[in-house]
Amino acid sequence: MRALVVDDERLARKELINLLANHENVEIVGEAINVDDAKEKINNLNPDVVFLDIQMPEKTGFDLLEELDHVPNVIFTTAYDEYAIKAFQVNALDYLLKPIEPERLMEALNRLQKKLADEPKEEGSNPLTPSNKLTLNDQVFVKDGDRCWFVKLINVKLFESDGNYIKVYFENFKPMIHKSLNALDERLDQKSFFRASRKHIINLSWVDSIEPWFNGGLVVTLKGGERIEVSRRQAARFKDMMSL
Amino acid sequence: MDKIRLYWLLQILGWSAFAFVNLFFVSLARGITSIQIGAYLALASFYLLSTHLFRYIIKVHGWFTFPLSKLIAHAIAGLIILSFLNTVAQILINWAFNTLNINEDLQPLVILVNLFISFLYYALWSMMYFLYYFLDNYNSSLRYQATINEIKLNHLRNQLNPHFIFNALNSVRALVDEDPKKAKSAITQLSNILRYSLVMDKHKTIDFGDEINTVFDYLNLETIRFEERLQVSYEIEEDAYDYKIPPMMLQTIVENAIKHGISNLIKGGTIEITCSIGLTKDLYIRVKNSGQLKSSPSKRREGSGHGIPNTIQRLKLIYGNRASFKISNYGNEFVVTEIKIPKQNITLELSE
Repeated sequence: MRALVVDDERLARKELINLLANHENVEIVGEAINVDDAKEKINNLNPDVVFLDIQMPEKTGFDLLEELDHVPNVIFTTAYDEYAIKAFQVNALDYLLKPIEPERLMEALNRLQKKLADEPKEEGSNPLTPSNKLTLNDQVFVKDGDRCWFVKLINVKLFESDGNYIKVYFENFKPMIHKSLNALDERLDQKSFFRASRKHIINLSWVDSIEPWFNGGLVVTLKGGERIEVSRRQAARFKDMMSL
Repeated sequence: MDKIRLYWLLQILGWSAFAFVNLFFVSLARGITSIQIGAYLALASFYLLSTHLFRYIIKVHGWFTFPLSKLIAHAIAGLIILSFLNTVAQILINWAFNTLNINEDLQPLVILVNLFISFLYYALWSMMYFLYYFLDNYNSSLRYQATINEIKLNHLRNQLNPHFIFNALNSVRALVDEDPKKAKSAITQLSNILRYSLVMDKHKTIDFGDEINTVFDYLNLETIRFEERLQVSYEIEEDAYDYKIPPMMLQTIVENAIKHGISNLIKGGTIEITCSIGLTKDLYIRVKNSGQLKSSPSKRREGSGHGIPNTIQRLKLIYGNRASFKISNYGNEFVVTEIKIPKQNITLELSE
């Protein structure tokens, strides 16, 4: 697997790379020294896994993930950060504490290997098409206060705009991300997601029932009970899509 | 100062009360005359002046720094001398007011009774005086202890922060292969810092040299970690080593300079530490580091809220108003922190 190491300290990167040298299946494709550097390298190199330090100058590792459209697999590395560790533990994200224990590293790599084997990535093989849309198998990174998640888009039933933010509905959570709904709409795969109105994008695989509404509009009920109005302008398109 | 005002108030009220109560009882027995009033007021004034002199001696000779047994011995000797003086004064006052009855007043028994009574008054005064001092001292040492405990707690939580320790260990681990010699010295430096931070809270103040050596070790370790991103310079006057300063204070400032300043800058930055002696023999410690203070206090980062008020309170408890602490932005790229530690004197040494 192809790995990118992101850390602002040279010795910390060196230490991790030394440790990874014992693992034949890991190839280091690059090193990044801050968030902007990492962003560029992730987009160019499309690594299978990013070893990501949290505390970096100006922007943190979390900021990086929030800025990325395509979120790769991530193993966090941190020396000590109470808040981050709490966030990881709550959501079972993989993290390594520096100095890193070789056994823990091995475990994390094995877990990742398994995950990669379970979901053969088709999209991942053509990194040079930037217009790549986000499909149901892609994940986004969402952080809300103390908590953070990697959410597979297949689990997101609804995006709702709220001022400058978007509420992401999945499981029982609706954390906010700082993005515009229009920008997100452009990134999402039109086959799976539908722009129901100015305020909503719905995940078509979560649609439970559809009823006619005033003025030729529609109301869609999602699994879980949310009722979303589809504007008249979009209703015709929606009927087209749903009727195949 | 408030304490001085309280002292004079109590002195005047107390000894006036002494005069009036005596006059009251004398008037019951013999009626009241202007001569009696004059005599008792004169006696009360003598008590006031003599106790004030006593207080002056106690302060100038630093009696409160004596061990308890020595203090008690001195106090009793003082009381006896005062009583003698008082008895003589009483005779003189009687003589001055023409009420001296040589046959009666100079009898050994009368003199002895007078001695004893004035001894009691002085003893009462001393008891109140010493009691007030000890209670006040106890009180402020409690407050000091409470602040120190709070500092310790905050320290454990975020100051000699675990983030630093684990990052340092991580760099050392990488250094073991790259430069074993440097790795060894880094381990020594890290142990010095840890040891120092364990013992420091037992003292109110410590030698400047101990603190600055810890800062050297700390910044050496951070230089290993940040490499070319951290530039350190020192300018320390030799005389600074004669001073005692509160432990971990400079260290905390330097840590914050790294944590909130340099570590947030992609290009890194500089830290300049200057220690100099001012014209009035105060010690000025100045830390200038890259970075900017965040202007909105509501959006402060976790942990940064404790350091500054704590430092100010600590300085106040140890030095009163004679120390000072300032922190401010210096241009658009630097933050300057300045502490003034006052000229040292004996009363500061009663740390425990």
